[in-house]
Amino acid sequence: MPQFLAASINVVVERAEQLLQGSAEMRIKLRFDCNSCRSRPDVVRLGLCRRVAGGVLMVGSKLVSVASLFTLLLVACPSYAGPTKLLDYPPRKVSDCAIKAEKSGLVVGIQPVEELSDQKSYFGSDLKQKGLIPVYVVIEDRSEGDSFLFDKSAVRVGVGAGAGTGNNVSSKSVETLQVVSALAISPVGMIIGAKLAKDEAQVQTNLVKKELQSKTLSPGGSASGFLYVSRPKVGTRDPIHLKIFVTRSGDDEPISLEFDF
Amino acid sequence: MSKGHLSFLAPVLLLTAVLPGVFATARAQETSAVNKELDLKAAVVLDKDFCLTKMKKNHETFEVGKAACEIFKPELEREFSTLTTVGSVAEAAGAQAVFVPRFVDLSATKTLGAFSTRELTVLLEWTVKDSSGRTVWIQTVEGTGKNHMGNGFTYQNDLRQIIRYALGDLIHKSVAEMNASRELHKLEQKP
Repeated sequence: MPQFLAASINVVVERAEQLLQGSAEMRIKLRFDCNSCRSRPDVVRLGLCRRVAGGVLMVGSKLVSVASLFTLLLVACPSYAGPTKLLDYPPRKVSDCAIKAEKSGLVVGIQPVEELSDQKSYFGSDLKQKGLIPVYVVIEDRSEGDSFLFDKSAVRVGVGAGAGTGNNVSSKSVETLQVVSALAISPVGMIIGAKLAKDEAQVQTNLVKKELQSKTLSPGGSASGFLYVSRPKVGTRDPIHLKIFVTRSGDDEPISLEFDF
Repeated sequence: MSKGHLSFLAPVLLLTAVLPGVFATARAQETSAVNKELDLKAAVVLDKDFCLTKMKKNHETFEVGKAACEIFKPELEREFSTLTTVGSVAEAAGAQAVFVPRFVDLSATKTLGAFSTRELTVLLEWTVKDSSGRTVWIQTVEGTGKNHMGNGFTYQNDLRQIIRYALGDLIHKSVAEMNASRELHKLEQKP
C-alpha cells in the first residue's frame, strides 16, 4: 500500500470531444502506474476503463466511492504534475534541417517533428491525436543589404505534393478544454477537470510561445519557430506542400519558397 | 543599553530598505536615457475594432483592446517625436510611418488555487507602412503578465490586472523593438 501511495497516476481522458458530442456518459481511463512496483505487477497494476455515472466510478462489480477516490487522488497524487517541464526545442540552423530552400539571399530550412517522444518532450502532448504536425521553420537573411518581411498569415499549406494554394497553416493551439466542463459534473470530475484544465492551458501556452510569428528579417538576422500544420488524426498522412511567402521591406512583390514533405 | 542598540539599528535598517530602491531607480533612468526616441512623424491606428477586441480562450474572455488603447498611447508618445492617434490608415495622410497593431493570439495558464500565480501571454503584431502605403516593418511582440488566479470575488479584478500587466510588458518590448529596428531608422531619412 505505501508503494501504491507512492505511485504516479496518469489520468487520460480519451476522445472526450467525441463523447461530449455523443451521449452524456464519459469514459475515463485511469492508469495507475507504479514505477517502484514494476517488478511486481500483482501489487499495483490497475487499468481502469469504465463509465462514470452519477459521480460513481464502476470498477468491475465493485463500487469505488467518490470519497475514496477523492482521498486517493489527494494522497497519492503529489507526484502527478502533468506536463510541468516542457523542454525548449534546440535551435537549429538551416544547414541542420532536413529540408532546405534558397532564393534571393533568403535561406529557409524546415524540420517536421513527428516523433511521439519529441512531441511529448517539447509540447507535452501527442499532437498527432490533435490532428497537427509541428513543423520547425528557420529563415535566415543572408542577403547583402535587404530586409525581408515574413508574414505568417501568407503561409499556405496543401495536401499532396505539388498542391497549389490551400488552407492557411493552423495558427492555433488545440481546443480541447470542452472536456473540462463535462468533467465538472461530478466532484471527482471537478478535481480531475481542474487539473486537466491547468495542464492543457500550459500545453496551449507552450504551443503559442513556440509558434513562428511574423517578423522583419534584417541582413544577417533570422526567425525561427513552429508552424502547426493539420493532418488526419489517424492513419498515415498524405504528403504536405508548404509554401512560404516573403517580401522585401518596402516592396510588394512576394518571394515564395516551396517545400514538400 | 538595549534602547541604544535599537536606535542605532533603526536607521541602518531604513537605509537597507531604501538604498536598493534608489539604485534601481537610478538604473532605470539610465536605461531610458540610453533609449533614443525615433525622430519620425508617426501615426498609430487605434480604431474602434482594435479598442473593442475581446479574445476568448478556454471559457475566459480577455478584454485586451480596451486596456491596450489606454496603455499604448502614452507609451508611444514618449517614443516618437510626433505621434498622432487615428481611427484608420486613411486618416494618417502625411505621416512618415503608420503603425497598425493587431492582436494575434493569447494564452493563459490556469492554477488550482485562487492565490497561485498564473501567466498571461499576449501576442500582438505591428505592421508599419511608409507614406506610400508600402509595408516596411512587421514584428510580432509577446507580452507576459503574472497575477493571482483569483477566487469568485476577486477573479474579474485579477483578470483586468493581469491583462494590464501583460500589455504593459508588451508595449515596453514593442518600443524596444521599434528602437532597434534598422528599417524604422531608415524611414527617419525619408521626408
